[in-house]
Amino acid sequence: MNLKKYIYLCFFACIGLWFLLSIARTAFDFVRIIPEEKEWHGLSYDQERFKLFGNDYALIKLMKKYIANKSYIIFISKDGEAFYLSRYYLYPSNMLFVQSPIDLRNINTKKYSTIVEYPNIVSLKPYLGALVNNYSIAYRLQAKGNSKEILRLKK
Amino acid sequence: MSILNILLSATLLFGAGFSFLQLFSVFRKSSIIEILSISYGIGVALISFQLLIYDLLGIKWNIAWIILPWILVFAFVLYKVPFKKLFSFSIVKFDAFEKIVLLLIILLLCYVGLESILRPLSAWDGWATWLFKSTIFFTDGKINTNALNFTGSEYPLLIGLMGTFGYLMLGHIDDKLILILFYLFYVCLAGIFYYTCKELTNKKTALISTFLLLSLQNLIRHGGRYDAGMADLALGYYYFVCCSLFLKFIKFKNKNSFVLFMFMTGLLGLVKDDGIPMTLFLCIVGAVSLYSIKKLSYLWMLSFPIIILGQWELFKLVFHMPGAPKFIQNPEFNRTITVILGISKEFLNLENWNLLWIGFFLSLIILLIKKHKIGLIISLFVISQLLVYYYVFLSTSLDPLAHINNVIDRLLLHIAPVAMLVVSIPLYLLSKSYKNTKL
Repeated sequence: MNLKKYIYLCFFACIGLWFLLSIARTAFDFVRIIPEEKEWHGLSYDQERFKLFGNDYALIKLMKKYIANKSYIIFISKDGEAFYLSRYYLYPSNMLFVQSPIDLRNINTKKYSTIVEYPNIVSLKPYLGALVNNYSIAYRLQAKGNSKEILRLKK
Repeated sequence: MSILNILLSATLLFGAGFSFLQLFSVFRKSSIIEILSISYGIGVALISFQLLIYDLLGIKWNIAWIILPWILVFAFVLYKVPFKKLFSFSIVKFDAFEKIVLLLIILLLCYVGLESILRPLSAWDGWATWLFKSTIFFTDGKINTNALNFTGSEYPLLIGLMGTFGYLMLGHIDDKLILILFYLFYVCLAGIFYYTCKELTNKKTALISTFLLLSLQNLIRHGGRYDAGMADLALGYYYFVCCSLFLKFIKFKNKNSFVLFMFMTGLLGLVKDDGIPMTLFLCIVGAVSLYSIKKLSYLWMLSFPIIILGQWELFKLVFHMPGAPKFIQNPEFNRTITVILGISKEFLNLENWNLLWIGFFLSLIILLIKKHKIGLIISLFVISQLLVYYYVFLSTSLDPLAHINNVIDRLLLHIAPVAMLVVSIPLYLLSKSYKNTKL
């Protein structure tokens, strides 16, 4: 068999295998939709989001409860997903992502009213004294196992 | 009620694009499905432009004011073009095998549609960028450039404004129902792919290829499963539409098809920054094809993409929007093997692509053997982008392997529909010659 025919044969084998694979996957996808539909059907707005985002959504609920609309928030965390999700759900609040409290020294923090630390990456204690003087309210969220505790600090 | 509103907004997007298309005679003889498949992308662009212009002129985003011009345009089209010509249907007969493949395609369309409305937006880029912008625009009732700066995203506004339009029609933010507008890119890609492929091959090959394309798991994810709500499938759709319009231009060689081709080419860079190299490549393709068919009087139309992209660059400049991230440095050619291996690993990722990329490279060899001119030209649409990705990964200031792993599945999605079209050509050629040998 010459090289050309070998290539053609390979091509046909590839398409044949691909076609069979696609049929199998389509069948599997279609079967999968029934249990998935059952799993998601009838869930409330919050339940759906808890199911998708877990603890991150718990944080968002807490922030929505305690932080006023259109606030300026400093979000201290190493968890980018939690930040972007919070920013999305909390708009029109304006959020600034800070990966370490040390970075606060380089930020003009005047307009920010709230600090959120999530989950509990670095203790804010060394910085809190100075910050609380500048902010009306600071929040510190701590993850303890599966339960969440919110510590509210007032000026 | 909400689902009716979102379906109404989809109808308006189709309607706006459909009316616009009727001003060109390119698709007068085409099937209504093909026309509607292209109409959606055009409608999304037109209504996004409309929202942008209203904002710049200080006109409030009132639904009545948004819809009214399109009703007038549609009425004008109905007045100018006879109804029978506007909606021409023809009954197509399928044999038993074709009916089975068609059924599989319909099953996939239904499945992905159901998936798209099953859960709220869950894709990272969806809530970090694309639909976040829609949320900002809808909440503020305008394009709030200060807020855009705060997103830190330099991406263009077309997809964000599409989402805003959906929210305006809904009257509230619903990041579950809005995903239907993203799912429609999947549906329209199926439509335009089938008809483009049928032009180059035959009905059976077009059906098989459409099924193979739609069953790609990466496409399914972006069409309705967990990754719906991002702009990558939309860019893949627009790039394929450009390819289809280019083939129409090669066929008709008339002004209208080139105008449309250039208009859509300009839109690529407005969907996502990744579309800018595509726009540049297609401008070169357009210029070379004008030269080869001696229609140099059309050369001025190459300014369309420049104007379309230029207005966005100007907008960014005027409102001090963030520029593209500066991760490109001088290429480091010692990374060549790392980059090629990193990209090749994704080619062999059967979970995402089934056997698309293996099929594509085999097709390329067959097209070279057969010296199939059109097939080889279409292959260039894919290869040019692969070379761009290769260059980007050589030049990235990030760790190249980490960068590749992070984005390559999305980058390949932009060119996957065109790659599938390339595969369909040898499939048709070889099955035809096999049939003739048998006879």
